[in-house]
Amino acid sequence: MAEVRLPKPGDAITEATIVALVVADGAHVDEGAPLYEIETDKVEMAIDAPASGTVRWHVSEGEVHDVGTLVAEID
Amino acid sequence: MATTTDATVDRDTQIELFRAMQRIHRADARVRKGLSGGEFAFSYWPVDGQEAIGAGVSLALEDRDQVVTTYRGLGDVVGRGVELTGYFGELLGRSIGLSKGKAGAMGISAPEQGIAYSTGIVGAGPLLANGIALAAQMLGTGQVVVVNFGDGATSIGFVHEAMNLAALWSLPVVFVCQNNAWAECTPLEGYTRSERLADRAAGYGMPGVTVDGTDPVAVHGEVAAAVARARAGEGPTFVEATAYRLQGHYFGDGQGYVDADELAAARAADPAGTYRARLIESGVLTEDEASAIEAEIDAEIDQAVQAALAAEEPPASELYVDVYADRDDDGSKAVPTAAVEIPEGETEELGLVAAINRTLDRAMARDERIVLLGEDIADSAGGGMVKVTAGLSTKYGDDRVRNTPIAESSIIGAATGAAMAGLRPVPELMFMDFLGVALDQIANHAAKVRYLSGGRLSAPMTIRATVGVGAGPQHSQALEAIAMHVPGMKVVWPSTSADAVGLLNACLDDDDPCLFVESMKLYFAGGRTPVPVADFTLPLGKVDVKREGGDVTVVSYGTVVHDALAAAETLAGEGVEVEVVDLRTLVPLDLEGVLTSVRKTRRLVVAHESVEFCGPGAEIAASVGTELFGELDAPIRRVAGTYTPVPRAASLEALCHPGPDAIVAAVRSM
Repeated sequence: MAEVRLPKPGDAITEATIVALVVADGAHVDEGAPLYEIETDKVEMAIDAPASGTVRWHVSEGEVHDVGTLVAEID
Repeated sequence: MATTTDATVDRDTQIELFRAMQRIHRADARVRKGLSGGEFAFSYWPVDGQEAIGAGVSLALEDRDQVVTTYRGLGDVVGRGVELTGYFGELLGRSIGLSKGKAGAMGISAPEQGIAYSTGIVGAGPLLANGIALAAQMLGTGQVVVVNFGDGATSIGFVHEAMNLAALWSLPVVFVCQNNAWAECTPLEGYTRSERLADRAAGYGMPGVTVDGTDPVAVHGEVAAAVARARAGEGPTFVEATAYRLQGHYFGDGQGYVDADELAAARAADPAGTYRARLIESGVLTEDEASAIEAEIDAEIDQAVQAALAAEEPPASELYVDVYADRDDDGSKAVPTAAVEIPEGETEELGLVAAINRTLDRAMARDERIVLLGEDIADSAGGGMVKVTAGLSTKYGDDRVRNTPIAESSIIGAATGAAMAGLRPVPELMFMDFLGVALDQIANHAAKVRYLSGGRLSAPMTIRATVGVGAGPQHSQALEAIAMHVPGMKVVWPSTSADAVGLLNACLDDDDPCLFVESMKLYFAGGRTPVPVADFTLPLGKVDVKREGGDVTVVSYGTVVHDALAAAETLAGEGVEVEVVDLRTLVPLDLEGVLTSVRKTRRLVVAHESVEFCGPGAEIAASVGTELFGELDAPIRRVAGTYTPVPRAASLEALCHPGPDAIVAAVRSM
């Protein structure tokens, strides 16, 4: 099981908005494929899956979360 | 030069290039994966697309050679084979990091593994690489230094100064310009009209070549040829390796400035994958063999990442360690020690110029590591602007008393690198106003290399600088406060010929960089004063009471000590006994020595010629006020320079700088 946590894409960034979940909850994803997208004051980022498996989301589109928050698990 | 191809490279080299390239590619991908998954959080500058350069350069070097690189240095470090646990530990800020977690991705240093230094200051590396190469040349080690920098760095003056000096001195340096098509977020055509960056080399009298930086075989061939030239004493080469940066400037950079089709095309032709396919197609490797190498690398990376993640953060006790060689605590203040007097015995009458000249002469005779660097310092150029170094090049040779171009960053950079590599340089800045010209090399590199390298490297050197007089706003400034504000530097300013001898000897023996300040006024108007004929050393961080008195303490240093002594003489006629305390050293500051005097007199005046606002007097007044609140009979007074440039007109300069009258007035007001 791999944890997906909200990254810190800059020293001063503390939170980010979940813009899009590319993979549906319960669907399979391959490592390296697009997983979700975030937006901060500094950047917009597309984030790839760090592992292959079934995705279980812990967040929803439009929510704002602190960096380090558990976004998803891939099993 | 003949183009190198797969046909001219043996199979083992091709496989080693593949291994190095994959090690870089996979380590970079692993870092980005950890960052995007929230497993790590640190600043990182990806090297995806530039793997062939780190691999090709690394395999062109011998173990003894040294590499200087930048914050985008994973390829250069990992390609060189640096042990990965220490590397990842440093990225993560852990105690097992190469520099105990105190330098980060921008400051990777592993000299025993062939990585001398990395810097986050664009273009600064080449200046320092020259110094490492100078030491190699002078010590005859046979080492070659490769310095990596990005295409963006070719716009900064440092790189041009460095290329000029390296060519002039035929230094064994290879300048590797990793042209990844982007200076941060600006394309090449956005910052230069040069069509080919390697063309810059011709202007400095060195060969310049451009090579396909996506092909490790081609990079290896060109760099190997440049390394051979350097090792043979034929001087530096500029190698421009062209590639395309496949990720953003930093991790998290959305690359909104990149054409999507251009990026997609570059990613489709990624150098690591392309070289893998090439070796399989040509039969050098089978698919299974390539996969086996990759699995081995992945296991090594994974083990290192896990070990680094499991390691502890550096303890609080680590904060002050490696700021100075001799301290594990706050080194701004001196540790109280017993006074060391100037020795008794036979003396000779020397002015300040002769005293410094004699000291350098004797030091060069006893310590072959001492090398003087500066503008016009050799006898062929007059032996120095005021002849401080006269006769020394004739006695010790132009190699050890080196005339330099008029390029202060080059002088300090060469001194810093040479000091890191075992010499004891004495660079001359000439006027202290030029501190600013070389401040990056002083403040970001010389002063910090001990900290950045986890204590494995240091820059023991004595920077000589003169405070002018009567020379106007850009040749008369006292800027010691700027140097005092940089942890890692020591700052010394003697007021007499004898003190200059003892303190200069201490600086020359010190294991950290020292700024040794000389007063032009004392060169010409200080007169000849007695100096022991036998050599001696005075400890840094120890005040000297130049006149005893019980009513008020005047703390000063340099030229102004003489003003304080004149003021004391005037005030003695009025029945006021002034104690004149000469700091001698500003960092480390002998606060205890000052407190001892003020506890007795209960009144303090601090006097210096540099600007009063935020000057050294503010620090001393605050420290004494904190320690002796309640014991003082009057508010602490400062007598120092006005908040103006130093004016040329003598009438205005007299108003700008405090003299004896200003000190007398301050004492009377108490």
